[in-house]
Amino acid sequence: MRRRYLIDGQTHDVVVTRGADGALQIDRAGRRISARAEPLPDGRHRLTIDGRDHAVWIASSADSVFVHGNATGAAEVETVDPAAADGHARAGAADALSAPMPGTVIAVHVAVGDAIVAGQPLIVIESMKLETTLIAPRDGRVRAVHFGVGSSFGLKATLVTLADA
Amino acid sequence: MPVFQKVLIANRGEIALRIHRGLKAMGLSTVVAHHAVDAGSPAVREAGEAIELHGPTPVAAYLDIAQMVEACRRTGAQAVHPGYGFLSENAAFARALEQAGIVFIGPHADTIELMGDKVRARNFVAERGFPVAPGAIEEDDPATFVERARQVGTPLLIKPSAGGGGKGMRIVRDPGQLEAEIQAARREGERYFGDGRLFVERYVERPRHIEVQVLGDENGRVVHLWERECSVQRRFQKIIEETPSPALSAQQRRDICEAAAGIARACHYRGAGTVEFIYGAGGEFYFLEMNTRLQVEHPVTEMVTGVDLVREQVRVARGEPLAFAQSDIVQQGHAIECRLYAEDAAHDFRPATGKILCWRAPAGPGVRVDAGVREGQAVTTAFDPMIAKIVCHGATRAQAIERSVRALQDAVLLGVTTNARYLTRVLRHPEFMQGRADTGMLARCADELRFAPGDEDTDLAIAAAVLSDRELLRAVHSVPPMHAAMGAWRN
Repeated sequence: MRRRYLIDGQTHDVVVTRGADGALQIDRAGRRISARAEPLPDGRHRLTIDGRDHAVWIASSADSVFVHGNATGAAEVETVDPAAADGHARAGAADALSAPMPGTVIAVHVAVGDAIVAGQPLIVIESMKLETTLIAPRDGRVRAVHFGVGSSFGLKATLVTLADA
Repeated sequence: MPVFQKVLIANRGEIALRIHRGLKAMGLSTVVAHHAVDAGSPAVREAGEAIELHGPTPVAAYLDIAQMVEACRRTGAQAVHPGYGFLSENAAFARALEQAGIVFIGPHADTIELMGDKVRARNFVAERGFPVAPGAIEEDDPATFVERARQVGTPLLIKPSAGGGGKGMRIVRDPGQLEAEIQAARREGERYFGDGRLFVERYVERPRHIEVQVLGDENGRVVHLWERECSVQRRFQKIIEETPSPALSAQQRRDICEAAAGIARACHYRGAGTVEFIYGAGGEFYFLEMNTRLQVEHPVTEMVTGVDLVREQVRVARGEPLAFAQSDIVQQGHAIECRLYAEDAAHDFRPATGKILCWRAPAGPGVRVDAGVREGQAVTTAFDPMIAKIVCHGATRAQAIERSVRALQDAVLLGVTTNARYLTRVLRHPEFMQGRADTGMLARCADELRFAPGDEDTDLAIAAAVLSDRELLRAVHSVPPMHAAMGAWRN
């Protein structure tokens, strides 16, 4: 079975098959490892990779797995759906104005239904003590404003959605 | 002598919890004032009493003077501990409490006001013979400002009078650029602070940030609790602090600490405060500013001196005299604080958000963790991104570094990106290990501090992702025994 993962901005395509003794065989870019996991009484898991044991903490959110190994520190592995990612890039890019970084909304200059022109200021956000004004990438109309003044949002959150004029 | 039994904590996060525990140990009761987003926070849960604040934003709620005073009235709190940030250096808040008959656990409002005005503070310090960097202040005589700035000599630093946090500061090395840079700095000052007034100071090359903890009582007695070095900074934000400073000789340490105590004495300082200095490669040091509150990094001082600063703040606020003389305060061993931030060091330290899925604080000999987070909590950009302070004490600096590295590796925080690994890389960098870090170190060493995962790191991460993927496991083989356990982690 195939999976596409994103770690620190790097894409990793892997193929997972059943290996010997119930372990999994994971292939990626010419590298093959055998892995198995077993829960430990303290809440950690023992990951055995090619015969070597690693006691790690693992937690999952909707689309990411977080792992903490003592020697390596924490890593976030995001599972990417290749089909959805391609589709999103085709359809949504010009309509959804997304947050370049997490922050807080300082001002909203437009309302739903407003006609807008390219370059017009739409929303002002603050992040890392710096204010950034997001401007309209094209002419059109405001379909939705997703956050009000004072709301905080995460990286890549959609702030404003545009429609055709 | 002001007597109080119940104290309102006008803050949040780790410092609210630390203050609550300190007050509780003294037999006082506490009220934690909080915005609804913090209703489940450890400080609110642990405190005997809590009162909700309202505001257009969570931050605005913590900055609302009238609401804080009203919260005291409604809960019967007779004193307020402001922590750091928010209203801690707000003279109007101190005055409003005084008028309401509530004790402000901090200095006099006049002192807050004096030290809050960078130009007035600089003049006050210079007039009393303490070292300030050669400089020129525009408002002394705007017509001659450029000429006076030129006489200070390059390199120099242009600062907005109303500024703070490094915003709008510019370094000028070429005297020919002076006027253009002054114009640019003025525009920035107007944009950021609505105030274009400027001053210039000689720029200290390879500057180090060294500050001194002071403590004064109502009777004018002042002691210092030695220095802290806070030179490891990213974008003017401290991330690692330590004491003693590896930069100072015994004589320099005495000089800088006595200067700080002298400045505090001159302004009749009451309570805990910090005098910050810029320290140059040639051993020269200049007054930078005074912070009239408890400092984020106060635990390193507590670990080497054994003094509980919150306890002393309360004692002073009750009108009690200092319980010790200068000669009683001895630095034992070495302490380092690392600030665990929700941020992505690989992307210009941009703030990271998410939900804390797993949090295991490190522990061990000499390890103190001040944290105010819990599992399940959302980390947003509504507040400062600090998650915890990991403070380690050792007999020697080398031991304190080693313990800090281990504690950072043992600190498990899943769900939000943190700077833990970055901090360990800074601690292990030769410049830091040799005690040579200045405020430019992180920018200068950015390439060496960058982490590139090796194949084995990636193997481990991918294996964890694969082995917690129910759908994938189901597809690859019949339900394996570890399923249930992995599933429990999925939120």
